[in-house]
Amino acid sequence: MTSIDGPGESMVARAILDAGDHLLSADPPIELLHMRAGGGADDPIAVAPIARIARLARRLGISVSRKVRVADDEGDLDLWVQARPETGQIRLSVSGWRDRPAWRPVATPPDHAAMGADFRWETDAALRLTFLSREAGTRYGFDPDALLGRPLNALFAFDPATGDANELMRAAAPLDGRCARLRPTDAPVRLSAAIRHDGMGGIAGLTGATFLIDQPGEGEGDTPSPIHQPPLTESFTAGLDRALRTPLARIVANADSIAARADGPIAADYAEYAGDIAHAGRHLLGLVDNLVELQAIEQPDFRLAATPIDLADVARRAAGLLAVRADAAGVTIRRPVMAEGMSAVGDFGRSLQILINLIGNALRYSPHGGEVVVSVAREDDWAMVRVTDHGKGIAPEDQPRIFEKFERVDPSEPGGNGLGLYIARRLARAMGGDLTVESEPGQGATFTLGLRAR
Amino acid sequence: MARMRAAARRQGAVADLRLDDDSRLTDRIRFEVAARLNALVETTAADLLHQAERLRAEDDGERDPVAPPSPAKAIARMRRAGLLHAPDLVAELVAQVRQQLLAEALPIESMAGDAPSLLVRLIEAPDRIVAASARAVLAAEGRARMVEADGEVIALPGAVRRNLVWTVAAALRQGDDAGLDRALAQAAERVLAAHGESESPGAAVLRLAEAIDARPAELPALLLESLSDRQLGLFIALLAHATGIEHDELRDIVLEPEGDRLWLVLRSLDLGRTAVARIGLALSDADGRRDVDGFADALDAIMAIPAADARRAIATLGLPRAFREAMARLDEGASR
Repeated sequence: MTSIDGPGESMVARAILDAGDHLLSADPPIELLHMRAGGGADDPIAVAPIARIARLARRLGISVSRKVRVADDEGDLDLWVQARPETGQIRLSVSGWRDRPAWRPVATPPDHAAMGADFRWETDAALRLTFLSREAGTRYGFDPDALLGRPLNALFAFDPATGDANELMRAAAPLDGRCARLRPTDAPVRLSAAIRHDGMGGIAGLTGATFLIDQPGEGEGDTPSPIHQPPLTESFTAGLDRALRTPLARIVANADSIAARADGPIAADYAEYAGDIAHAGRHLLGLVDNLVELQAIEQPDFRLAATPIDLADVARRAAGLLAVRADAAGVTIRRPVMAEGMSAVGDFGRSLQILINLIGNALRYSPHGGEVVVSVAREDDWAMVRVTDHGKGIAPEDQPRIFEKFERVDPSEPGGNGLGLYIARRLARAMGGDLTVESEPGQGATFTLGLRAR
Repeated sequence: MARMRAAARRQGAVADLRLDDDSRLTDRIRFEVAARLNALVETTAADLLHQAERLRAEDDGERDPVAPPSPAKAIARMRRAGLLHAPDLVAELVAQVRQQLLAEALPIESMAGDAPSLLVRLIEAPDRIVAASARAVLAAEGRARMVEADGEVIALPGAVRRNLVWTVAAALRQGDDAGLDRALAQAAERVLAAHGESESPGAAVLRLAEAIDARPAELPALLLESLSDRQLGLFIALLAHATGIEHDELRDIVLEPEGDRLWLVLRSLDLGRTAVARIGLALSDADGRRDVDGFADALDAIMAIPAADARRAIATLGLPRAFREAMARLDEGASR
C-alpha cells in the first residue's frame, strides 16, 4: 500500500485538461489520484474537487486557486490546486502532497498565544510593519503610527550573529523566543512570531509578540537560568491526575462520537472541530500521564529494577507496536531480525517505554516513504539499541536541549509535549544506562539507548 | 413571572424558526455585534457619568446628590425598554462586523511577490497627501483591532451616535433628580462634541481614496490589489469615490451575497471581464453564502451590459441616502 512513493511536500505536479476535462497529459501523482477516484484513460478527470476548480476557471476565464481535500489510500490529502485556462485547455498545477497535518499543540499565536506579551505587531511579506499595538508606543518610547510601513528592523535591532530579519522568514519557526533590542530605547526584548500564509500556502507576513526582558543581561543567555524548583509533589500530581483524567477521557469520548457523526448527520465543519477537540484531549491526557510519571522519576532515590532482559526482543516489540502508525505515515521500520539477541540488565517495561518513545519520534520526523532503522549492537560492556531516522535532524546546539523538560526543537511541530525524551533519559539513567543522540541537520538523527550488557 | 418567561421563550423560538437562513445572523456575527453593542453602551455610559460627576462637582449648590445607576444597570434599563437594539445602530454594527469577517476571509494573494503590501507602498508614495492618508488608514485599522476592550474606537455615523448618547443619558437618569438631568444633558453635549463627524465609519479609507483619485485605467488593478491585500475597506472606498455612491450604501452593496448590484457598479465603471471575474471569485471564496457557480453562469450576461446602461441602472444609488429613503417611503405609501 505504501509502495508508491508519495511525492514530497514541495513538489508540484502538473496536468493539462482538454475542453472536455479529459487528461491530455498528467504527472504520475495526478494520474494516480484520477485512477484511484475511478477514472479511466479516456474519462474526464474523476477527482471531483479538482474537476470543479477546472470548470470554474474555464467559465470565469481566470486562474482559480483553491485548497482541496481529497481521499487517498493513506488518508486525506490537502492539496493546493491551481487551474489556469489557456486557449481552450486548462493547465493544472497541484502542490502540497502530504497527509493532513496532525492537530498542533501550538496554534498560530495571534491573540491567545501572545498572552502576557507587552505588545503585538504584524508585518507584510516584505517584513514591513502593518500593525502595532496602540498602547505600545506611549509606554515604550516610540511613535507607533510613524513606524507603520517601516521595516521590522526599524523597530528591533537583531544580533547580527543570528542573522537579519529577512533570514528569519525562512526559518521554520521564525523569531521563536529570539532576543533583540528595541531600537528607540535599546531595551532587550524577546520576540515570538508566526508566519501568516496566503491562499496558495505562500508567506503573507508575520504575526508577532514582544516580551520585554526585565533585567538587562537576561537577554544574552538562551534561556533564563534554571532556578532550582522543588520537584512536583506527589499530592499535586495525584490531584492533577484525579481532576483531569476523567473529564478529559469524557471529552475525548464525546468528541470522537460527534466526529464520527454517531448521533446523526452534522455539518462537516462541526465534525472536524470535534475531531480537533478529540485530538487535543488525547494530547492533554498524554501530558497528564507524563506529569504523573515525572513526579515519580524526579524523586532523588528513584531506581529501577535490574533484571536480565533481551534488548533485541524489546526493540522488536516496540517496532511491532508502532507498525500501524508507521503504515499510516508511509514509513518502513527495519527492526532486528528474530534470531538476533542482545542480553542486558534493566527493566523490561521501562525499556519498552523508552524505545516506543524513540521510534515514535523517528516516525514523526520521517518523510513519507522514508525508513526508520532499529538496530542492536554490543560495545564493550554496553548493550546498545539505535533508532535512526532520515528526518530533518537536530542542530548540534539543540541536541542538549531536547533532553530538557518541556523543550522541543521546534515547538510548532505537531504532537509531543516536550516531556518524552526528558523522561526517557531519566529512565535510562535510573537503569544505570544512558540515552544519547547523534545528528547532523538535514541528515536525520540516531538515538542510542545503552544499558549494561550481561 | 414564570409564565411570562415561558411565553417570551416560545415567542422567541417561533420568531427564530420563522427567519429564513438568509436573514439569520451567524453565531459569530451575533456574538461580535453583541460585544460591540455592550462595549459601546458601557463606554458611553462611563463617559457620561464621568462628565456628569465633574459638572456636579463644579455645581456644588447641591447637597447629597443621588448616585446615578451603574453602566450595567443602564444597559438593563435600555434592554427592557427595547432601546438597546436600535435598528440603525444594530444595522451599522452588523455591517461593520460583516465587513471585518469578509475581509478576514478574503484569499490573500501576494500579487507583488516580495514587494511590500499595497498600503505600505502607498505610505511611501511621493504624493504626501496619499502617504499621510495611507498611514492614517493603517493606524485606524490598528485602533479598530482594540474594539473588544474599548467601545471608544467604534466609529459610528453622526446620527446614530447622537441617538445612542441621548438614549444612554436617559437610561442613566435617576427619578426626577433635576440636577442630575442637567448634568447628564451637558455631559451628552460634551461627549458628542468630542466625537465630531470626522470619525464616521470609512472616513480614513475615503480620504485615502480621494487622495489617490484613481484614473479609470488605474482603478481595476487597485481594486484587485486591495482585495488580495484584504483591504476590503479600501476596496469599498475606491468604488465609492469612483461612482459617487455614499460609503454606507456601497458597503451594503459589497456585502450583500447576491452581488447583482455590485456587478452593475463594476460594469458602470466599465471594468473588464477578468477584473469582474476576479472580484467575484475572491468575494465568493470569502463568503460561503455566495453562489460562485451562479456567478460564473451569469458572467457573460453581466459583461453584456453596456457601461452606460449600468450607469443609468444605478443612477439613483448616487443620490443622498435621505432622499432615496424618502422616495422609498413615498412609493410604499402610494402602493398601500
